[in-house]
Amino acid sequence: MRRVIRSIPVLSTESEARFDALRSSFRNDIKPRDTIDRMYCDDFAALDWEKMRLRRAMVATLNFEVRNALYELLVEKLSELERGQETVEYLDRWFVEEEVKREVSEMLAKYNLDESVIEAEAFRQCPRELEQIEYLLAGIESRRGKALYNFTFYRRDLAPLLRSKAIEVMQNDNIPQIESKRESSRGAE
Amino acid sequence: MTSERQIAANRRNAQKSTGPRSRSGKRRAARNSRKHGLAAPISGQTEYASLIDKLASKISGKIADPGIRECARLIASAQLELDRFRHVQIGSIECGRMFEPNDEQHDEGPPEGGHAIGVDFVIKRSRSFREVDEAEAVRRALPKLTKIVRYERRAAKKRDDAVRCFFAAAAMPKPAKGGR
Repeated sequence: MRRVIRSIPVLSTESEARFDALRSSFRNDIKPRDTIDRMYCDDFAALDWEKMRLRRAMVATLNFEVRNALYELLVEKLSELERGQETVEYLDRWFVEEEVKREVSEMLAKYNLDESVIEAEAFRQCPRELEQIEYLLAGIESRRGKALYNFTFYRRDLAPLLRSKAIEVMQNDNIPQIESKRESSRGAE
Repeated sequence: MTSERQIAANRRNAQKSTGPRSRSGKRRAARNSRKHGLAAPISGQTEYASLIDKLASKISGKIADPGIRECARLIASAQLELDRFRHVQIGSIECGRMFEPNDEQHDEGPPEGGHAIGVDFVIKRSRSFREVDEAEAVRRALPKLTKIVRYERRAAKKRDDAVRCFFAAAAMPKPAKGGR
């Protein structure tokens, strides 16, 4: 029972070593003095870990929807392309061929739209999942805020450090980007 | 309108349905309304008792004050509950990956010739296939996760309140022995 309960809260696809490193960095910064300190310290690490997991899930969900979004926009909404398997195959080439990408951009430009509309449509395709992920993320933020507030009651010196630590963790983690956004940022470079 | 005869018959019949009589039957019936067990506090569960005691004595250290020790017990049981919920979360995601069938949205998948180029491309562009697999498992577990988070929040509040009590009690000056 003990082994099960106190085990590291990572999925089989996640790296225990990375979680350990995150937890150690929290422990190094906070330098827990007693069991309660250690409890909060591990809690902060676990909450940040969960947050990263949810953000990865959110981006992957949106990336999957990009394909549906392309079809929905160009076939169903703008009627620029005919329904059918050929169109599906053509739109699949959007992911790999610059030529198709340019053609799609031209089609969108006729309606004063750019590639960001694909991302917006992808958002529209999975509202329930995104809402649930947002709900969970908000829950984590609120729990983290409350734990931090409590923690500062007896470790006043550490509050600013922990706040900056949370920002640092989220910035350092190389969270994947949504497909259309990644393309546009690459173009900007 | 129910007649007097019917009422009497109902009462007679009710005497025959008095529920399980054996000890094992009673134990089983006690769990009739159990759904997931997450709302049950672990402090009442025997398998957690020694863990709670151990963590509580680590928290309170050498302090003998019964009030402070009780606060430490509350902190310990809330913290172990939090650990349990975290574990349940992981289990829900892993179960989603292993047992739940794909839903219609992603089930079009690669029957013979592999994924369509678009999906393949998304998988390739992610840092690994594992990441996509993980995201899909999280997506499937979302309804369960949103339920668990409610209990998790409650346990966290319990722990935070107990920690405040602990420090308030520890900071309180003790009355002098024999004083008026």
